[in-house]
Amino acid sequence: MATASDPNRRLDWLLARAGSIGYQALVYGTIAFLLAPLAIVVVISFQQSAYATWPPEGFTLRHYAALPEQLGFLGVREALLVSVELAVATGIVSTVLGALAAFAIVRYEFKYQTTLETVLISPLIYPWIVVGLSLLLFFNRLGDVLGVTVQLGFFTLLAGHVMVTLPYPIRTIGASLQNYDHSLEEAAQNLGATELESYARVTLPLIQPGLVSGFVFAFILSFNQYIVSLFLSGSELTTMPLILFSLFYNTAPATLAAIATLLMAGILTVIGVLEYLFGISEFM
Amino acid sequence: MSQRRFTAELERVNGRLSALVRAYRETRLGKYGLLAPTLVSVAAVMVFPTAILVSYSFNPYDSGTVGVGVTLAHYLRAFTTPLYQETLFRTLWIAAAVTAIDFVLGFPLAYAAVRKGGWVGKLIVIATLAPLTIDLVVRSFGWFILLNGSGVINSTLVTLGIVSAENTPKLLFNEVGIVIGLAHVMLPFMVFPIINVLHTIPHELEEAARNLGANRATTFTRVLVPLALPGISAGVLITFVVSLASYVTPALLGGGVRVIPVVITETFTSTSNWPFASALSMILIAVALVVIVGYQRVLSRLNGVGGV
Repeated sequence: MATASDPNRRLDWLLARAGSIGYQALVYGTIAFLLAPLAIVVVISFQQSAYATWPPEGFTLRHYAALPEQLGFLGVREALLVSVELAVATGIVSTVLGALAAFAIVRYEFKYQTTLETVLISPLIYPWIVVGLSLLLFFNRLGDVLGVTVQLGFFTLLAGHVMVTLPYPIRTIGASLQNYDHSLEEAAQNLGATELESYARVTLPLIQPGLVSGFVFAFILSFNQYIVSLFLSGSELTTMPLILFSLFYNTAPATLAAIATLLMAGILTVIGVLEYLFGISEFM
Repeated sequence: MSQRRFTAELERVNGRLSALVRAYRETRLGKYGLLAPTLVSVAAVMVFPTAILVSYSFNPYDSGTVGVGVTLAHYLRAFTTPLYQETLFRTLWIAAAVTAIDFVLGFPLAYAAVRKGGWVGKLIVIATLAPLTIDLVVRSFGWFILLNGSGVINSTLVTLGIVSAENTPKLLFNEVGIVIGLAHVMLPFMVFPIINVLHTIPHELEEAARNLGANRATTFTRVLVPLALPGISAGVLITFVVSLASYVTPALLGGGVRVIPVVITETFTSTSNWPFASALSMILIAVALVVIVGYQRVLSRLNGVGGV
C-alpha cells in the first residue's frame, strides 16, 4: 500500500512544482514580452550603428545630437505641435461630452437604459478605419448635397478623434459617479449651498479622478491615432503618428529610435506625474 | 468697488443658474438635455457617415468614376475573388490566434497581478499600462528590430548555435509578425477586464476548492473561469473585434501579407474605388456584428443570464 502511494505522492509533488515553475515562467515571460519592444528601441537609440545591428557596439549620443537639424527637415516639430493641440482639444471635448452623458446615465432612469449605454459605448468596438473612411465620405457628400466644401484639417480631425475617444471618459466618469455618494450633494444644498456651488465644490472634486483619467485616455488615444488621421488630415496638416509611419521605412533605424525614445520619455513622464497627482490608474 | 460689483454679479449669476437647474432638474428637458450633446455627436459622426458608407457600397464604379444606381458587384467581387477570400480568411484567423494567445498570456498575468500584489502586482500593472500609452508605430518599430532577418532574436539564436545563419526563422513580413505585433498591442485589453473581475473573487473560494480535493486544473476550470467569465468574455470580445480592424501593426509588420483593413486603405488611396473600399468596410462591420451577437448568445446560454 505504502509503496503504491509513495511514488504517486511524489509525482503529485513534482507536477505541482513543475506547474508552479511553469506559471512563474509564463508570468515573467509575459512581462518581458510586454516591455521588450519598448526597451529595445531605447537600446538601439544609444548604440553606434545607424542600422541597428545586433549585438550593439559601443555607446553614443550622436543620434540624439543629430536630431535638432533632422527634426526641422522631417517636419517633426510642426507635426508634434499639431498632435498636442489636437490631443488637448479632443481630450476637452470628449471629457465634457462624456461627463454630461455619464451624469445623465448614472443620475436618471431611462426607458431603454441598456440600449442607450450600448449606443454610447459602441464607438469602442466600431472599427477605427471605418470611422475614418465613412467620415471622409460624409464630408465629401456634405459638399455635394449642401454645396458647403468641408476643408479637411484640424476640425475634421477633431470630429474623428472625439468619436473614437468618447467611450473612455463616459466609462471613467460613470465609474467615479457611481462610487460617489449622491447624498453629499444634497447635504451641501441643505446646508445652504446653491445647486451650482454644490456641483462645483462637492461633486467636481469628488469625481476629479474620473475626469482626469477620462481626459488622459482621450489625450493618449488621440495623440497616437493613426488611421483616423490618415483619412481626415487633408493635405496641409500632418500629425506625429503619420510622420512616424512614413519614417518607419524612410529613415535610419537609429534616428527613428532616438525620436521614439524621446517621445516615450515624454509621454511616460506626463502619465507618471498625473498618476502621482491624481491616481488615474485606479480607473483602468 | 469693482471687486464688490463683480462679486455681486457672480452671486446673481449663481442664483439665476441654480434656480434654472432646480427648475429643470426633474423635468424631461433636464434629463435629455444632458444626453443630447453626446447623442447628437454620435449620430453626426457615426450614424450618418455609416449610412453614406452603405449607400456608396452599392454604387457602381466604372472606369474611375462612381456611378448612380444599385449594384451588388462589389460584394460579389469581395466574396468570389480568391485574393479577397484569402485575405478575409487570414484576417479572421489572425484575430482568433491573437485572442487565443492573449488569453493564455493574459489570464496568468492578471491572476498574478491580483494574487501576488506588492511590487510584482505593481510591476505587472505598469508593464501592461506602459505599452498602451506608446504610439503603435513605435511599438511596431520595436518588433521590427527584434524580429527582422538579422534582428535581435535571430542574431541571438545564431550566436547560441540553435539555428544556422542561413536557416533563421522568418518572423517578420508574414502572418507570424502580424500575430506577434497584434498580440502585444491587444494584451492590455485582455488583462484589465480580467484583473477587474478577479479583484471581486475572494481567494477563500479557491482555497475551499483545493481543500475539498480539487487540483489546480480543476480549480481553474470549475471555479476561477466561471466566476471570472464576465471579465474574460469582455476581454476576449474586445481583443477579437479590435484585432479584426487593426491597420497600423499589420501594415508595418505584414509586408506583402495583407489583412482587410490594409486592403481597404490601399483600395481607397491608390485606386479611388470608393464603392469597393466601402463594401469591404461593410463586410468588416458585418463580421464584427455577427461575432458580437453570436458570442453573446453563446455566453447567455452558458451563463443562464447576462452576457458581456
